[in-house]
Amino acid sequence: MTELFIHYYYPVNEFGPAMPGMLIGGLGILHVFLAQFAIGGGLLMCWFQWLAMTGRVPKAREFLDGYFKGLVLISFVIGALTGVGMWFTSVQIGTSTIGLMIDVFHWVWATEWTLFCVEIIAGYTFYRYHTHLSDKANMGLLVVYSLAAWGSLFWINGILSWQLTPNGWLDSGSVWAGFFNSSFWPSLVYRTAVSLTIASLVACVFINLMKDTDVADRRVLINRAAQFLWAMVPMPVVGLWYLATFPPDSQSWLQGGSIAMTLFLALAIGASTLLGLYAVFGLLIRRLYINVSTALLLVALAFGATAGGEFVREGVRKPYTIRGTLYSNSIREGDVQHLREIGSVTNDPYPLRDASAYFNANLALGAKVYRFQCSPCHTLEGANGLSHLTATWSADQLRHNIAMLQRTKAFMPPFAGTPEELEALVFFLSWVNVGRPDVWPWETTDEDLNRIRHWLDEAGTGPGSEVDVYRSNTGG
Amino acid sequence: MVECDSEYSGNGIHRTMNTPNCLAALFPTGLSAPAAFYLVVYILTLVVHVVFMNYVFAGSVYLGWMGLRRVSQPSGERHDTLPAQIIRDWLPMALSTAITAGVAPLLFVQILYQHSFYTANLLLLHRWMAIVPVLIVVFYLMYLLKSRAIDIWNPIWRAAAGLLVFCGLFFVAWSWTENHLLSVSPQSWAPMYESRQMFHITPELWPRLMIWLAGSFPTMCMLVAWQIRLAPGTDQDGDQPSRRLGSVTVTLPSLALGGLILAMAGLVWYARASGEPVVNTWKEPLLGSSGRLYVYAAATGMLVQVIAWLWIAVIGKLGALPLWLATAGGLVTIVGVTVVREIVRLAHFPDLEATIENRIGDAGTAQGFVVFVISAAAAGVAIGWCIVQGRKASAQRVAS
Repeated sequence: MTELFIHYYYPVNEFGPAMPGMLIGGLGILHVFLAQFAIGGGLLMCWFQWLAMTGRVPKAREFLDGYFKGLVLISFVIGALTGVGMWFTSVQIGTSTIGLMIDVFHWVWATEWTLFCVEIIAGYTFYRYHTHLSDKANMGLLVVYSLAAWGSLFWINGILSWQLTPNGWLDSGSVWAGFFNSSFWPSLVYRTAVSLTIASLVACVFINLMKDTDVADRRVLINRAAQFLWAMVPMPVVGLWYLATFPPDSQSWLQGGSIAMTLFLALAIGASTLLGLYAVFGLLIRRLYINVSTALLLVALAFGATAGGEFVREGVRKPYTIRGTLYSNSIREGDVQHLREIGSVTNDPYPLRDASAYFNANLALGAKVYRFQCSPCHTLEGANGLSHLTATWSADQLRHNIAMLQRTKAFMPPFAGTPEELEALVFFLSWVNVGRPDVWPWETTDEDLNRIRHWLDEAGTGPGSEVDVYRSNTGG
Repeated sequence: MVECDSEYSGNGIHRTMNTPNCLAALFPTGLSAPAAFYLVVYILTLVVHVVFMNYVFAGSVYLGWMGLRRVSQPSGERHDTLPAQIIRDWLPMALSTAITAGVAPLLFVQILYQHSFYTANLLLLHRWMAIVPVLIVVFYLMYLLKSRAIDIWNPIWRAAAGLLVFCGLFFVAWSWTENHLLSVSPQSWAPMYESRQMFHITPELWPRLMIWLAGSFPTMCMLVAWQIRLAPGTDQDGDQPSRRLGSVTVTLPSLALGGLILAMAGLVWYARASGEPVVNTWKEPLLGSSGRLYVYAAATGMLVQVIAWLWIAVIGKLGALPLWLATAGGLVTIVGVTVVREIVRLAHFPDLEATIENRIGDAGTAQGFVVFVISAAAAGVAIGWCIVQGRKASAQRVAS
């Protein structure tokens, strides 16, 4: 058991005033946007290849040439590398989470990798040789590329949706029960529609940048590219279907339970609605011509909608990173009780980097508990800073609210340490809140520890949402 | 090779694989069959990554060097050697392939050495996270070097762009090597964390880098030689219409042999730099019954490569037989060295085998292997078809 727990601990990095989630969130949004552009772009190019082959759009070949160059230069470089960057960042931010995901789904990931290989080879073959290949061969390459790109979405979608709705995996341990979870299909359909939308809007930018093309030709190309925006029409229904698969507590965060998530959802819906209305009434029904500025603005709106949507997708998993298994601070649900008995940092082999800043051992213990249990999501005085959240709380309030953390805020995980550790954390936070004086008196009585122990027992080791279930079952 | 069933292991994950003991017998590490199986998959995928990585790295050195030699050329002119033309043209795709091929070993290293790999990543935070932006810059510089736009640049700036590509790749190689050395040095973790050190410079670092970097040249030369030989318009003896082929049969063998000699010197340096206590930890497993096989394989592969490149230099042609010999020798060397690397890693880390067994206890039972095999086979067919299309198009381009 001790051996296992030693492998729980990793050196924890802090990122100044930025909370760790901001780092992975920023990179993740960029990567998702570019990856979805690559997926939709492949399908859009198949469509334009067909238009070129059948002579329906004379300028389709020129468009394809420029669009694919753009895709190679943007998506094959930044898109691919931010994908690797996502793994690197996941290790930095959610070490245990990415570790567990790899343990469970490594063959699924390896399957996705085989599709990456096809995507790269098919893409580069088209890029290098399309001017010397027959239309049929070019179409073949684009179809292979598109299938591989969409296939990679299929596989990664299963892993990401599993984090929120692992469903049958929790009971049976079956990877496939977890993969084809309740949010898998709505998420896949939704992301496919988003991919088509992004590809279409980016195409409008590229069309405007084509040389030796007059406005009439551009209008024809834009009208054709805009056909992919029909994918936005069913998005509200698919979105509702997707939201309906969320666990009840996750739904409640979006409905005002967590105002940040509600606002980000509103941002995503607002941006998508504006985009959708313009796409349907302006581009599809009235067949308007748009210039590069308008096209860029629409791409920016799509990026905003993606950013909001990805923030919501990450946020609604709280208090977990893998529902029912791993809390957002990388502590396994089943280990909370054990850590309450042996202490959460008792076996932590990493000393504090600023040990000299703490005038006694109890304060240093509090700093260590903060580092292990709180810093994965919070900073002290920066973004989502504990000082901002707790500055007005009294010591007793801190003790009570942290001991019953999952009841204080249902999207928080339970405290996973001994009463002594909790008291040290309260001491540490209070000390930070008063400006970190060189010496500061702090008294802990047996009664304080007993009360903390009582509150910990009362809160239990499960998530706060279980309390809601308990209440609704008992009428409490 | 692998049987699949659906026996429930009782730990929340299904058991799907029973790997035959022959895989375990391949390694002198005492690993169980499932652990050895993952090690084999890791090594095979790493070998593929290394082949492309070698092309990219040695190619960037060669281009950087050629850029420096051409600084006296006037702007608007670029008289490249044939290898430089080819490398410049293929470098972005080779980097893309190297990165994509690198995803698989990156996945399996997390299965085998999760805790130590992650810990080293975390301790080298700043440089580790710098790898991605550096590679993005390198990627775009490669496209720039390939483009006609750079021809009008001042040759000094052209040379600087080539050198920056090399510097970026060197940074990545250095960071990975340091990460590896840190991952096998658990006694350094806590002190390094506490002191906020950003570097883990040990005596083994530079010779290790030298082995990898010098060893990349024979692979790059072999691949470039094949590219020249298989280019449409080249006859069966590897003769190209170009008069520059004469210099190719001097340049490529010189680079390959120089790389092999420097890599061997790096090996000696590495053994000396590691110090006797460290060498003693891996001497026994490395020179034991199965470890010896890989040491001999690597040495034989190097010898075969030396013979092949000398043969090419003497006959002045990129003949099929010596090229096949260089290819076989190169692959055997890479496989041998990659296995030896793992044996040394396991010897460094007395507890690692137990840790792997612990990890494999969970990870080795994950489902999805059959889907992976089917997908890999389908991907192989699709990639093969794409390559055929590329060959057809190349032939047509030359014909037209």
